[in-house]
Amino acid sequence: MTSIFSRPVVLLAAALVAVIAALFALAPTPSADAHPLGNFTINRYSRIEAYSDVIRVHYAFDMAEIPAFQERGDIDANSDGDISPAEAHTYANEQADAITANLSLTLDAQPAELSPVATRAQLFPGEGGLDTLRVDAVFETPTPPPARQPSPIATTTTQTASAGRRLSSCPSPALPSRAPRQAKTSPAPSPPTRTTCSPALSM
Amino acid sequence: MTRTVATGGLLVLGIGAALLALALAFFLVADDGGGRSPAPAAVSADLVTTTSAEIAFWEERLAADPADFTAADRLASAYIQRGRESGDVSDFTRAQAAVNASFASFSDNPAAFGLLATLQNVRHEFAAAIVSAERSLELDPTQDHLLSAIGDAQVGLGLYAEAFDNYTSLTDQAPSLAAFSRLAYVYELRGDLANAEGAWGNALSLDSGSNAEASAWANTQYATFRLNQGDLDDAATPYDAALDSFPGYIHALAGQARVAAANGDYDSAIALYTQVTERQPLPEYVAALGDVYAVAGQTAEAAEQYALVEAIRQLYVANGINTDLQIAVFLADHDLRLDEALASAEAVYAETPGNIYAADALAWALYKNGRAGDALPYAEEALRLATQGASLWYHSGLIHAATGDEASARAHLQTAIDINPHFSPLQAPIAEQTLAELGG
Repeated sequence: MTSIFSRPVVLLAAALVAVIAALFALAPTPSADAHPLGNFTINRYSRIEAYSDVIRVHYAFDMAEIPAFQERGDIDANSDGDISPAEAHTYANEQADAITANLSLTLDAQPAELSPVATRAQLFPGEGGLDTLRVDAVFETPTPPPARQPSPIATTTTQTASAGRRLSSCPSPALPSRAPRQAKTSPAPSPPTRTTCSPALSM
Repeated sequence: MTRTVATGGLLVLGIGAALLALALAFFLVADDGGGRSPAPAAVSADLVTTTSAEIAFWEERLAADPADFTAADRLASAYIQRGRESGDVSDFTRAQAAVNASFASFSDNPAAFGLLATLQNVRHEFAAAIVSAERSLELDPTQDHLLSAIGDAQVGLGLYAEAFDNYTSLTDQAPSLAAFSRLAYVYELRGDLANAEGAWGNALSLDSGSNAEASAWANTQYATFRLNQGDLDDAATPYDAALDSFPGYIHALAGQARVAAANGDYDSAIALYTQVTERQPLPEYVAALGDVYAVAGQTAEAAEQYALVEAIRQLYVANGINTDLQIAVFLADHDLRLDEALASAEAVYAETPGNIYAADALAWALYKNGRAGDALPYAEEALRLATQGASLWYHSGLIHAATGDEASARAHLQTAIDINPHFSPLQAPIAEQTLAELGG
């Protein structure tokens, strides 16, 4: 399971950094620690990669200080004030399940079943001694057999409801309606789709 | 024009309930002009998005020419505006960076000094705000709007007579909604409700309707003025008017939540406050939601909201905003960390000894720490203007009761209840109960 993460997550992180850099390269940042998109925001990212044998969806959300603080109580299952690795792992899996339930992928007009293959929840030091929260989840479904016609596989995903009770006010992530089919020997990912949404706090 | 420079200070722009002060500060901020472009023409449900686009525009201009101080001024102004619209205080730190950029290319920039004064008021650096505003006026005496920044700082410092003079000058020279609403507030502090009502009438009649948010703000403040006098029915109309001019305006929704709580309709109050705090987790509304949960018997939910208040406070402090007054009252109200409540109250009183809400906070914190005798002179000081604020009289009543002066205690508690029997879902029942115990 962890091997899945080794490369894609690096790509994911790099892409997010690129988004943030593009949006805020010019902004005077309050401090090195402040959340670049504001203390109240929940930002989401998703990307589809189509390979010869598998379609992979990377999904991430990033909570700034205030929503992360509100989420802490749910993560800290034993209420000892600390987030243990086990608690973070459980929370990440719960979030992946919630995302799975609300994410639908359509391949050649057929619904495909996405399964979580890797998840991760991480806290990072934020402003004012508070943390920010980042959750990554990777989903996969087998690539369907070659289509009867030579057109590319049409993939669409929609998200009927967001993961987590506090994400409901974010728009659904925009995902490419078409992902070019990859040659068997070069599983290059499709261009990333970036979504951010702010301020989308609900408590 | 009368202007008085004060030395040493800080405090709140203080609308009765201490935590509301910051919301008021946000309004005062945006209303100060200071090179800001006109408000968006359309009533947008998503002002923040509009302002973010403005920010992106000026960011780009400033990046293309770092010496473009006008772009830096506009950028600072837009960040201040967005901070006020979203409640995200890190925007004020970004605004300060833009002001610094403006000064870097034009050290005698009057607009930048005006913006600096605004930011200093937001951070409750009132004495410094007056110095900056004075400097700005020295460089460009045509900026009438800076009188309001100076007046606001004077209110924070407790220099009420000086603020009154400045606001009066402003209403004479440039009568406007912003000028008369400020004057109304000082009349209210002075316990002169008839003139406060008159000033509100002038303020609302001068509303051009061109800035939906300003109209909504003014109607909301007027409604709150009526609510503070216990007029639940009279408050409903201006809250509705605010929501008509600006649908979804959170401060009006919070006002309706307060009315619902006063009527004992806790479900509606919780629903409204939840709606408000989901959109803008301003600490005063988060605390108010916690209080309604508490009186509705949902103590775990209340504790969750109180914890959130303190987390938000950490962000304020990280962005340089002094919250001593608000946190002192919040902690004392909820019997949380009373030693810290007292330390914060002492700090705010040391900075702004003239401010009646600083005196009130210190009295309240001393009382909660079992020092009613020490609290007494500060409670009396808090009432020196005879302000018709129920919580001031309530605090004083409890303090007098604890010192054994039952006659004064009865009188002050009765005054609190007469002013507004619904002044706080948590505290008003204690006022009633104590009064009953005293045979009042």
